[in-house]
Amino acid sequence: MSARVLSQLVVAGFIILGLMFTGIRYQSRRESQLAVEDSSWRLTYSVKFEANESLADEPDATLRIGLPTDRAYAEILNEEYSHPGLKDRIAEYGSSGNRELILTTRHGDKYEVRAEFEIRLHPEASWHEQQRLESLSDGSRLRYMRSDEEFPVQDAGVQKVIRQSPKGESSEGEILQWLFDYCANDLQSSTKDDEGGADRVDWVLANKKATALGRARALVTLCRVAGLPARLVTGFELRQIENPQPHIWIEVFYGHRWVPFDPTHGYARHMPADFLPVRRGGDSVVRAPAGAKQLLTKYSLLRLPPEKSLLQSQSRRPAQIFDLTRLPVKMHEVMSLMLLLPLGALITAFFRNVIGIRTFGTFSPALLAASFIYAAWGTGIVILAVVMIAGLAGRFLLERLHLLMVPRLSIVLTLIILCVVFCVSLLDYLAWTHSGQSVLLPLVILTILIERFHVTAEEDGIAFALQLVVGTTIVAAFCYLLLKWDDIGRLMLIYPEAHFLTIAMFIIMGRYSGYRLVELWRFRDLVKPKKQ
Amino acid sequence: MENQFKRFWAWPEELSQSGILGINHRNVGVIFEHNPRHLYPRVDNKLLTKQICQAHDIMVPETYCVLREHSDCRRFLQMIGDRNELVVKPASGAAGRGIIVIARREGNTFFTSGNREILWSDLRYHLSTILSGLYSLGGQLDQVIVERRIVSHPLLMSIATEGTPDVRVIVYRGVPVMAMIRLPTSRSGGRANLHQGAVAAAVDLTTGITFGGVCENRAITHHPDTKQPIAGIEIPSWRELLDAAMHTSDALEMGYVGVDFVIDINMGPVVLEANARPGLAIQLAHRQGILPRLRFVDSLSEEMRTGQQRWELIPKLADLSTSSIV
Repeated sequence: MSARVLSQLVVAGFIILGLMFTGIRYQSRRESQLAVEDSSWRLTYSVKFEANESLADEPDATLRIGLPTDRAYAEILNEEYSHPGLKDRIAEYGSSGNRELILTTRHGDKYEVRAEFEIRLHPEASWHEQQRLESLSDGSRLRYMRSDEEFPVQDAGVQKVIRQSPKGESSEGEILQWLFDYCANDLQSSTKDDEGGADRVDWVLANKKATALGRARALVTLCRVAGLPARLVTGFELRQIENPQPHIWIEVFYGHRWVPFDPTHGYARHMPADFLPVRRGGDSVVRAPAGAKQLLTKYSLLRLPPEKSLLQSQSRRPAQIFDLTRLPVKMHEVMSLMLLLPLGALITAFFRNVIGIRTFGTFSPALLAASFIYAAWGTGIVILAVVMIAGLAGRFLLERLHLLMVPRLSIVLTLIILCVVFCVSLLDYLAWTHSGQSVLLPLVILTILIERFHVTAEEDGIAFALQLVVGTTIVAAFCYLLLKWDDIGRLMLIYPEAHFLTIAMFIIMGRYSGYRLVELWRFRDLVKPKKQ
Repeated sequence: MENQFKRFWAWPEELSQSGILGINHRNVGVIFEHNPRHLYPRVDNKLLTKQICQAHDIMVPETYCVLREHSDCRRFLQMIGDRNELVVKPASGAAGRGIIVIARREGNTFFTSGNREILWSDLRYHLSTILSGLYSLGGQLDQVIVERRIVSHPLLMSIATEGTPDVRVIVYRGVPVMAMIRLPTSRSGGRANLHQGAVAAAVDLTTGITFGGVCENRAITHHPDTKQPIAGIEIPSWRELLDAAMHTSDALEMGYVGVDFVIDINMGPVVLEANARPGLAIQLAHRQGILPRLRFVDSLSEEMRTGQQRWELIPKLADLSTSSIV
């Protein structure tokens, strides 16, 4: 097999490995993240009533209980009903998204109904839910534009508010916002027994006082007058309270979807995921026929513990070796810097092999850049300049002593260390360093760089040596920009397997046989003139 | 044509249409394919190159002595005896680094061909830096070769000021495909390295007559120091030189090699060293790319590109060039 084919296979292999491992880790991180954000709840209805006549005589004479529906953000894990002596049927209504438990009986008696739901909330999915577009049938439109006793569109108070609302150029959204602001801000809160009318739209708008239901009804009515189909929504806010009560908000149909508004809590266009609707287009969870007496409904909500696996995820096991974020936070910086170095080398390889910029050594630009990460770069450059000058001066003087190479290099190293130490001390004395962070220069690399600069200057001329210095600086600057990028460092710490992709890129670059950028300039004179 | 001199830039397609070999292509497509890694010491170590050449009766400069240990430095004067002219070079040096050519000697004071004075203590220091590996690839310990100084043919000396002009022949799979003569300038410090400012002229493979010319990546016609025209020079003993180039490549068993010659006034063409990664400036000297020639050699059967058959290929290869000379 030729080297070309083999390297293509290896590249493909590394890319697959990299994507696969990154994907697996992404998935498992996402799952555990979601598991933390998710919450499980138990919602219980307990309904007691007394039927004095048969509930099956006419279609309306049935007990209808609104049920939560399975949605992207609210998963019904389990539901159980108990209703001794009652016939049951579950009905689903596609148009409104409602689901009801319909109970009938032929005997007048006392009945007790219990319904229990285990619900799991995924707050993260609520956004997707919001993106669901639908079209409103003519029937539904008529229904949600209707004027009746509950929503008196023709009421004088309603018309008065509408007259105050912005006119002319205003868009639907602006009018809707104005109506929402009016209902949410201009109406005072009231309790249910407040003069008995705080639930009624005419009373609410006349007295500027409303219950949650009154506010919602007022907003629905106003929306309908403004030409926007609107409906009430009854549901529960899933939180652990004693004696929870259904909450009422509204939905307005515009922009091809039902958009929620809660004038009581002030949520507009988006409801938090912990609001779970059980009935749309109505204000009660349980609808009882006239024949039912002494209807008593009680609800309870209980937060359930998360899955065991989540609680045990921190326990010690060998697979954790591959999770670098588990390490003490102090080590993260060093670890991510190390993980970034291959990317620095990638930059260097790119500059050398694709652009054609020459540098001193292969890794010195990336290592130089890495050393600047901990230092404030201003002081870093000052120290680097001092060290370079001192090192070069020392090297120049040493030349005359005719020393063997290793001792000579060691003297330069010692000089550099002394320089760095006293530079740091001086900066500290002048109180220039902000945090007292020392400059961690790669001393050995600097020593070798100084030696190479000296030899290159001597052998190939100072111009060529300076050219290499400029090349090294440019590449080091790009490496610095990359290494300084915290987000990339964190990502690499989380997904170190992404370096399989880096290796693939190195192989691609290693097999790159195209022209270097500088060759386009270098050989420009060799282009044959086009044959006419 | 006018457009050609104004441009600062060539598109990659234009370069590949002109058959230009880029450095990445050279490394990946040519060197890795034809130069087995384990044979590199044969060219990287000049001592080994010399031994191989001598074993195949290829002319090389006579070796006076080899220094292997630091203790040898002390015995250097004793080893060279009363020789006045000699060359000191690192066995593993690259690009002419660390080479000192001694042209004259007054007792223990030496003078280079450029008449720079070198005291014995300086020379001894230089020898020890070579041994400690300053000039070697990768910095390993090195050896010092002390050899005969080649007196270049007067015809070639007349164009160059200082240093020794050398002839490089690129041999591809046994066939000489391109040749150039490199003339040191004052800028290049007497060294024949193009990236240091030496001048190069292309050599026609059939006739051994120079044409074209390049300095610092730009086309030139006259030597910048002597103002002599660099085209139209006939390289002495050209046929012998080509023959030696083919034999060297055969002996080294390398598929893509640059063989460097100097032409001695008495001995004729002498192999100085071979290079497994010859530079690409030879294309600039020819004002033409090397790729069509490499492809031509690739298209040949093994019998056609070995032995004496090769001589028949040379006019064809040269023809590939004349068709496109501007």
